[in-house]
Amino acid sequence: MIGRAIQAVVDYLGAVHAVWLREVLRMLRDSGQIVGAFSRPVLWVMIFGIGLTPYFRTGLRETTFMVPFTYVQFILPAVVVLNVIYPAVQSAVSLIWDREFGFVREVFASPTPRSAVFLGKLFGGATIALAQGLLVLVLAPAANVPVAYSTFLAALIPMAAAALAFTAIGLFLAARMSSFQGFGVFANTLILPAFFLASSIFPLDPSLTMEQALQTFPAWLVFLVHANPVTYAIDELRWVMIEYRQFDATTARLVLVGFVLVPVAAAYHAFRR
Amino acid sequence: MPSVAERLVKPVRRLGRSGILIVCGLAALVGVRQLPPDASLSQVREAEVLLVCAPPGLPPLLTPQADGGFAGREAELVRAVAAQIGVPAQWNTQPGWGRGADPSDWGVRPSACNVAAGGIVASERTRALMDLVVYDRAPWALAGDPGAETIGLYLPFWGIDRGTGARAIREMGARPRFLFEAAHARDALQNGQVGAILTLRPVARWLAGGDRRVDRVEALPVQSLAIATWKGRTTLNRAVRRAVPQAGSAAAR
Repeated sequence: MIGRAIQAVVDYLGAVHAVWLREVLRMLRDSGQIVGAFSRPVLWVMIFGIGLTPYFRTGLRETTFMVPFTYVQFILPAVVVLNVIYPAVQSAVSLIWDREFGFVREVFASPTPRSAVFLGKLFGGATIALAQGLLVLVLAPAANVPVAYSTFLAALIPMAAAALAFTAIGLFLAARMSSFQGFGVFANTLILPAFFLASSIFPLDPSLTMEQALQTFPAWLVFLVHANPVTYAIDELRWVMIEYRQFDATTARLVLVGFVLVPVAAAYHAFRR
Repeated sequence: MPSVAERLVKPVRRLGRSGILIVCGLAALVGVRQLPPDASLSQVREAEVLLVCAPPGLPPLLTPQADGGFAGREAELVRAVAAQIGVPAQWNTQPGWGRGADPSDWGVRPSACNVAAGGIVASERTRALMDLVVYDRAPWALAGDPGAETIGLYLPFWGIDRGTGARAIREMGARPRFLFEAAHARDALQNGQVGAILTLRPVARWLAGGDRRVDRVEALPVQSLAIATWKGRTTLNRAVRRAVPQAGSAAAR
């Protein structure tokens, strides 16, 4: 009885591993994804970040507000999250391919539990996303951000949360879409606003109260930034990397937990149908 | 038995074009991160002088000399930074530095210098303005009689919380008296206007002058003294880091 249960668990994990490995190998053989993974950090950190840093230099009576970082240090954690989001969502394209070419039908006709296939795809996409996020850390010295082992390990938590959440969102979309073009449009419509509305490239003044912020920025913008879960993933990562946060730590962590659980549940529900 | 090199090359070869792309991508990232993120260091080299903002005096860290220069520990550090860059240091004394509680009123501007030195303490306020290179730790200390009725508070440091010092003096059961100039503070201690002076230990030792006791104040947090570059001048800051030895704990012991 126990032996059979153990065998069932081993078989289940074997199925998850097989699908996970397939996803990872598929990414490693996709030249376009690899080029994107390396070009995004260079574009955002070395060109955009360094290019705009002089305009955010601080001096007494010379700035709107003073913050303990340079602009390139401020956006570095955001670029890490961006490099996680893109591959996480794009990895779900494989689901449309698999459906198109009959792989899903074959797998679903086999005794392999659907949940194992789902978890394999989820973890596969998240692994790829996490790996691409880590690539950005190679550029941390250029931004004068020291990355100690403890920082590296602590950074994995918000990165993994963003990776799982966006892979799940991608799988949710892919499960409901039949065309690659439609998925691509949806993905970009999702990724770019989620990134730009996450206090990623422009800081909401941390010294302002909510009332003052609403006087400085349009109310809809303040609302969207606060309502966007990506804001809290970036905020957590910023705390880990440059010891700076704009939002309450407990709120950020609770939002991140919810941000992982809700999309994963929704994606699994859509996947099973 | 495959060699280590063969073992490393094998997985890359199995990935074919993607393996080459990954290796090239990593090499590109490592390569581009060597690019200088700003021109602050090259500007100093082109100007052939390192401009240093400093207060009129902060003995023993910056003791004014007759030639307009400074002696003292921070002066030596600044000269080491200039030597590292390969240019001489030129002092740009800021007459308003240290006058008044709000640094915004001191008139120190990023355009006036490349480096700032003179009792800069690492704190949220200073980190907001400058990239700090901490060179030592300095505990709070009391120069003179700990049981004095009036205790002077002499804090010519940028970024330190004067309120903390004043509260500590009151908690000692004494009356605080604010002092703003080094010579005045030393005179006040010598002629008994104050029984003791609360400040950071390097300055406390100078005020005590060898004939008065200096006691560390354990209740107050140890501070970090730093040399600073203005925020965003990363290449210059890296040069300062290379020249300035990291925080020794000699002062904290």
